[in-house]
Order: sequence, then structure tokens, then C-alpha cells
Amino acid sequence: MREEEFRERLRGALGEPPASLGAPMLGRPASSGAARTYPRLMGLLAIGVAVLLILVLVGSRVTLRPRGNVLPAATPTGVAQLALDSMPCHLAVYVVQEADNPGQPSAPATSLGFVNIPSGTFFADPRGTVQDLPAGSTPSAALYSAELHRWLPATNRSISPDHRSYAYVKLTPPGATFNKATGSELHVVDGATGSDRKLWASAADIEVIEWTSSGILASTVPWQGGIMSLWLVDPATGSTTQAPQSADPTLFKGIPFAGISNYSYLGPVAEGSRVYRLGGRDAGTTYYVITVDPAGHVTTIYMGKAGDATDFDPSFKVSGGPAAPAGYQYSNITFLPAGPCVPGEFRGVAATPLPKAPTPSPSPTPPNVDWSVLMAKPLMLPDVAGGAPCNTSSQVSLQVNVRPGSGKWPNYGFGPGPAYLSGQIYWYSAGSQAMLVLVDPKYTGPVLVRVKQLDGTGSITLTGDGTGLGGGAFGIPQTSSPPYWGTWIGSFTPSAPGCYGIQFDGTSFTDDAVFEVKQGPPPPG
Amino acid sequence: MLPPRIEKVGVTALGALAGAEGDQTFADLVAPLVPAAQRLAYGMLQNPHDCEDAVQEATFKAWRAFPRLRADSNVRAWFLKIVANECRQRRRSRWWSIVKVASVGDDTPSISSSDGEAAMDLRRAVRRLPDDMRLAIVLRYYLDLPFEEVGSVLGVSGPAAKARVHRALVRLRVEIPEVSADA
Repeated sequence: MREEEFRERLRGALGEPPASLGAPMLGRPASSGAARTYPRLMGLLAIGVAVLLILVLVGSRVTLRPRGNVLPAATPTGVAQLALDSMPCHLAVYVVQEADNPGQPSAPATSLGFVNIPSGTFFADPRGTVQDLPAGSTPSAALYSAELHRWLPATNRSISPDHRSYAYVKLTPPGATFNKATGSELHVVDGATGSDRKLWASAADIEVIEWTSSGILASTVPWQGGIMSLWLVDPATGSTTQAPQSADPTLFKGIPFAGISNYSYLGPVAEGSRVYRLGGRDAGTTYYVITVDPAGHVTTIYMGKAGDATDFDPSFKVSGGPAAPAGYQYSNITFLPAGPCVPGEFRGVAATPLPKAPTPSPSPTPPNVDWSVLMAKPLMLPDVAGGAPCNTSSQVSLQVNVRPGSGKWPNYGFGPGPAYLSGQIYWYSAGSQAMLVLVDPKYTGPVLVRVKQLDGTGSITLTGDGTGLGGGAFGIPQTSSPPYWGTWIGSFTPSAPGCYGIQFDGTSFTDDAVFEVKQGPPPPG
Repeated sequence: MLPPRIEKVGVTALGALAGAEGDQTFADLVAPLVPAAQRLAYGMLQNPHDCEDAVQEATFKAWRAFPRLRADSNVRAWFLKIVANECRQRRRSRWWSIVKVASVGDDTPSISSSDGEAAMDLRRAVRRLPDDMRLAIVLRYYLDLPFEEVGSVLGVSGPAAKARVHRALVRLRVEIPEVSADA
């Protein structure tokens, strides 16, 4: 499928943002009861804290209220009452600090700690680590287990109901990335002992949805794409049974309130109930918080208006977070709830800030190369008769190892090496396109690049970091630096479609590749 | 393109303008980028309320970071990077995932039932991509950004961005097995 066709299909699949999307407020936030303020160097715990508190509140209410009843719309006095009973407490948080400069890789840092509530002071946990426990291939996560008094590499979805074990997924074969995996395994770890047990293996991509008293609900999707299947895995025996699509907790059918179409799944609570927030978040919109028990009985535990003074989603200002690092154009700190609010105050250590942005190293001066020596090598690209087939070079797989921080480069090329043409499969006759040259580290000298149309007399322009030599010739003075590959990117502008050859000349080799230039401009971008 | 009054003032840092003038400059620069930001957030999060929240949150964070933005920066890439980070945080936290009850048919264009199944499969496959791959696909094919700008948002070079898009397409092969390095 061509790029344009894929673009159209993707847009059709994702849809367009609705025209009713509200525009954000630009500039300094207004001071109002419902507005949020952002003091410098302080994070803001908003929805996340609210969700944790919701689950704390719900957990209490579910144990105290009979099931299956729809409670009268209650004033949120429960918030203040619970505050008196259960606070102060310290909320486990996973802190992500980011700092970016455009065009450079992000420099994130994470730390584990607690925010004291209601004071809002943050302290890092000096014992906050999960490095001693096995974890899967998912983005880094951590959750505090009050039962074990330690952090686990888990999320609220992958932790066991008793908070003493967690599930994770390992890709197979060992060391595989998503691009190379051929299977996956579901593992369960005892958080107290660290014992790791393989529970289930699949030839598909396993993802843990949640772990409840009924078992571990997981999904599988074939690696090449396809239909998602749901499974319920017994954590004790590893036996699996296929679950219906309706078992997916993020799918909720039969909202019991007219006019409500949006909902959020907030997570599971004890005894297998699930908590949902029903309704929008626009200020003044009516919303509900409900629980649904395993039998499907719905209990409303809160009804209110989004953004009002007694909102079920309170916000907290946090102090004591790590300072913003210097030298970055953008930095941000986010506090993510990562466990319960443990009774009592926490006194830990100050958070470690990110170091300031590194000073870029100046590029070394390229060597002075006498290109006449390489230019004297004969151009051995064969002519192709007009109308004859263009026998393009076969694509070869490459293991391109580049210097850290250089980004990711293609793992394919054309030609026998050590210099390879790469970057695209086809080029086009109108407009400029990228052309990459990859050089195996077994060769470290300069490379002369010469391009010629084999079945015609079209002109070629090559530009990039190096020496333009005219007539489709270009000199790359510096290539590889063992153990790293040489990577060069340039711009290639042919004047006509046809069959083209590219010859690479080094001090100790000559190789070439044949490629096709198609009619017309390259696809947009 | 800087507004004329920035050049007139001759400052080297956009954010050196303080107070109301700085706020106006921020609004002047960021307001035209809001549709692209909304598009990015919608492509990543696929829900209008999440999208609004993410763009608003990102806008506040951009406003706070604005004093450190250099005058020669690509403002669009800078702002979209903040939006992308916000979307990533929301997907990573998994504490809440808003899904419309009436599936997403309310927001998608009307399509035939067979197209609808294919569209659902593609949407689901995109949702299951790792964050960096999904972001690359959305920036390239949903926002139509050139590779250099995709790279600026991703924090990599243009060729590296192209390679990441290529890898995402390989990973994505749902209903479109003919999509390979060619796309």
C-alpha cells in the first residue's frame, strides 16, 4: 500500500477531532475557584490523587453499604468525614521528571516517594527501588505495597488483590524487542521472596488488563496484528479459559443515567467490584461515581457537578519536589499515584534533581581529503539500454550499530558493502529526497559517491555534509569510527525517472548498487 | 516566523518579555498551533475529553516553560513535544481511560460495515503500538509533518524519525500486509 493510501486509511480509522473540542486557555491561568494554578517548581496532583482518594472512599463505602442499591444522590460530606478519620496519611507516588531540548533525546528521571496529605509535602523514599525484582518489557512502573512495606514493579492493574504479588509479561525469545518477539510469557512474582513463576506462554502478544479475585484477566493479539482475545488465568495453577469481550472492564454497557455517554474506568476495589466515573468533565456537567459488583449490581456513591467547590476530584499542591534542571527549553514534573495513602506522616529524603543540560561537544574538524585520487578510479557502472529491465540490487539486512544518542538508523541497505545505499526503497524524478549511506566499521576512510543514470542522461544533484564534486559526485571525508557504523544523510535530486547506479569508492574498495527512480514527485513530506 | 514586535524589541529570548506582553506573545505564537495540538492529542488518546484535558494541561506547561524558549526555536515542534509528553503520561498512568459508550461511531465518518471492521482493526492496532511508535505514526500520517519535524518532536534526527516510522509500520501490519518499508 502506498503512503497516501495508508494515510487515508489511518485518518478514516482514527476519525477527525470533533468540531466541538474546546480551545485551551492560553496564557496565565485566571484566579478563580475552579481554576488551577501552577506555581513554579511544584507539581499539581489533580485527577490522580482524586482517583486514589476515590478508591479509598469507595473501598470504605462498599464495605459499609448493602450491595445493589442505588443510593440517593448524596452530598459529598463523606469526603470531609473520611478526611477526619483517615488523615494525615502519605500517598505513594511515582515521580517523572522530564527535560527536553528540541532535536535531542529526552532526559527523563523517575523517583519513588510519598506526598503527605493534607500538607502536600513530598519526600523521596530512600528505600524506593524495584531493581531487585523481575519486571517485564512494559514502560517502567512502580507501586507501593503497604502489606509488604516495599515498592513493586507493578501497576494497579497488574498487582494481586492482596498486594503481595504482581504479574508481568516477558517477550520471547529472551532479549527480544517488540519488533523481534515471536511470543510472550505471563509471569507472577511473589513480592516478599522475589520468586518468579512462569504462568502461561503464548505465541501472541500478552497484555495484563487486571488482576482481581476472579483471576488475571489478560488479552492476546497476534504479533502481525488481528483480533484481540481475552483470557482469564488462574494465578495458582496457570490454567486459562477464554473470556468474553464483555469481561473487558474498560467496556461499560448500560449506563443507568440518561444523557450520559462518557465514562472512565477508575479501577477495581476489593471483593471484585469496579469503579466508574460516568459523565463529562466540562464545568457544570453532572457526573456520577458508581460501583459495579461481580453480579452487575450498580451502586451510586456520588453525584455532583464537575468543577464545583465540592467536586469529587480534589486537587492538591505539592511542595518539595525535585528542582527544575537548568539548560532545557522545557521541563516538567508529574506526580503519579502509585499505591495507597498510608496512615501517618512520612519523613524521607529530598528528591534528586536532574542534572543541567549537557554542553554539546563541538564537531571534530573533518580530515582534508585529496578527492582526485578516488575520482581517478574508473566509473564502472554498466549502461542499460532504453526499455531494458532495471536489475535493481537486492535489499540486505544490516546490523547497524551507531554511537549512543545518534538516533536510530535503518537496518537495511543495497549493495555488497562495506558502503551501502539506504534510506528509501524507491526514489522519484521530481523533487529532492533523502539518501543515506551506511558504512561498515571494517572500513574507516573517506568514501567517494558517484551516481549516474544507467538508461539515460538525466542529471543528478547530491548535497549533504561533505564535498560536492559536481556531475553527481560527492565526497564523504569521514565515515565509520569502530565499533560504530558510518552514517551519512544527503539530498538526492534526479532530473528524470529511470535506472540509476551508485558507485562507492574507498581507498581499499569499490562497490556499487542499482536502484530505480520512479516518475513523479515523491509522496508529501 | 516571529511577530514583528519581537524583532523590534531585539530580544534573544522570547520569554524575556514579562507580564501581559509575554502572555500575549505566548498566545500569539501558540494559538495557531492549537488545532495541530488537538489533532495530535486526538490521534494519541482517541477521546474528546481526554484530548481537551491533555491540550489544556500541555498549554499550561508550555506557558510555564515559555521563558526558556529561544527565539530561533521551532515553536511548533516545541509545543507538540509538550503535548506528546502529556499524552504519553496519560496513557502511561492508566488510572482512567475514557471510552465512549456508543463505540466511537459518533465521532467517526460514516463508513460501510466492511470498512468499519477494517477501520476498527486498524484503530485497535494503532492503540496497541508502543507509545513512541504510535506517536511517530500519528505525527507523520495524521498530522502530515515532514520527517525533520517528526524528529524534533520525538527528540531524534530526521532519518531516525523515518526509521522509527518504518518500524511502526512493520509492527502495525493489520489488515494491510502490503504496507512495508515502501510507505
